Amino acid sequence: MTITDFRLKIRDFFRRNKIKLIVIIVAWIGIIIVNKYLENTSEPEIPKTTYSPHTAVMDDSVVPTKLQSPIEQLIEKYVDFCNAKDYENAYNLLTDECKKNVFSDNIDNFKEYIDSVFDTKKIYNIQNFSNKDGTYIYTVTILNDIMASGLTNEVLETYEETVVIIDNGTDDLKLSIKGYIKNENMDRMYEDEYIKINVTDLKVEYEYLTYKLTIRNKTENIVVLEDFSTTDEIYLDTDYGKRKRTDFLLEPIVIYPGETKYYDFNFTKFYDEKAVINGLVFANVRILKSYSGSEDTRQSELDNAVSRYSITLDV
Amino acid sequence: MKDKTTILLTIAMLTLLVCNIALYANKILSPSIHNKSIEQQYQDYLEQRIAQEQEQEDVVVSDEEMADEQLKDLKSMGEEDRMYTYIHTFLSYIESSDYKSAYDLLYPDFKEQYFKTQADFEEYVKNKYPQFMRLEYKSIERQGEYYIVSVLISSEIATNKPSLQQRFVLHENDFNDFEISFQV
Repeated sequence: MTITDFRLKIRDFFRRNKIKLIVIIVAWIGIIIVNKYLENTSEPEIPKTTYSPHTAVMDDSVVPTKLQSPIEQLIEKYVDFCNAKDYENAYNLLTDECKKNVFSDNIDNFKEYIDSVFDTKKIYNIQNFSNKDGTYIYTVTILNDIMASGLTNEVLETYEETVVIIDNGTDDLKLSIKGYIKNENMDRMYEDEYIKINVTDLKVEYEYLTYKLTIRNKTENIVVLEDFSTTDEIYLDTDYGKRKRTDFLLEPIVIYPGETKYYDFNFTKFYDEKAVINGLVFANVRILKSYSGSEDTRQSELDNAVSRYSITLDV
Repeated sequence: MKDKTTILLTIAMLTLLVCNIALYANKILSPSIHNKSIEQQYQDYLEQRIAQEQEQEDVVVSDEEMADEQLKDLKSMGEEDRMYTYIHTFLSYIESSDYKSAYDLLYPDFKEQYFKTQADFEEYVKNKYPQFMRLEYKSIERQGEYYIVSVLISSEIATNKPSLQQRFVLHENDFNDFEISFQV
């Protein structure tokens, strides 16, 4: 092959592949320009820490990016109002349900609570704890202004507030405190010839479920549902086991003839728990002709019982 | 006699002429000589300034290099080591009697509460800390964006000042940009 042939071949190659070569060159130049642009617009490096406030402690899920900043701003506003003792504005950041079910729609109750937590100027930090179905649960750790004191003459004391933020799709985010999540209308009923039980409401908190019950004794006898004479008289049945009542004050549940009583049954169940509730169980319902509450007469009273049975309420 | 007078008058005229010429020459030439002297002085001064500026520039560049190096180090560190570095920086200022730089690092509300003036701060640190400090970091705890570091401070040389365990609270805004307070 002569040099002339070689030159002709090269020229021919360029002629045949002109378009392809132009496309390749344009793409190459484009890549170089994009790279240069990205180099120049790279975000400034920020100090790396182990603090990741929007990553859930429970399962490492991350709060959606678009909500992170609004949530931070909302909590900051709330703490600022509390520090400034601007009760009304702080109260207005709460959901209506929280105002109603945690503070009985009374700002004085809220004020009392805030005064106990924010007794001096506080600083805070947030940590996402758990996320479920658009509900973002944060632990807000409230502490004295340790930067201002340098921890002089004090031990590090913190107060952990469980703050719940529910994304209802609007821009107006609100929060609820003290772990309160929501209330649900239950409208469940059980009735037989002796007793009528209505479950009217369920209060959901991060750590607890509280059922509101109305129990009516339809008989001329005495209805005993729980007097702690046997174990597991009332419990919440879950596929992870039985949950006993965790009411602050546990009193026997004895209903006299014609009487209607109102109860709040509290059980420990975490909002993000996977356990399924099978029912609210009254395992030892006793319809008695007489009841003294004394151990001495217990057996004879049971021997003369009109009826003894158990109830499982679908809740 | 007449010739003698003529000679004397001629000598006098010539003397006057020489004087005039000398004065005239001086008048013309003097500023030039003077200017040259000023120019030389200016040149010397300029050279001196350039040398000084160059010297200063060399120092600035070296400071910048040092800062760059420190920043690079900080970027490669974990948060724990960065906090230790910040405390070390703060106490180094005190050690080198650069109280202003140390005072400027204090958190404003902390200053307001404990050291309203730099003089108060100086008095405190002079009494509290040994001249040459040995630091032993005992523990570190994070509270959100705040760090609590416990440090045992003792003297590098024999002294009658006892060792001191002190807690420092730090908040890092950015690399090498932090605020500090401590247990008074």
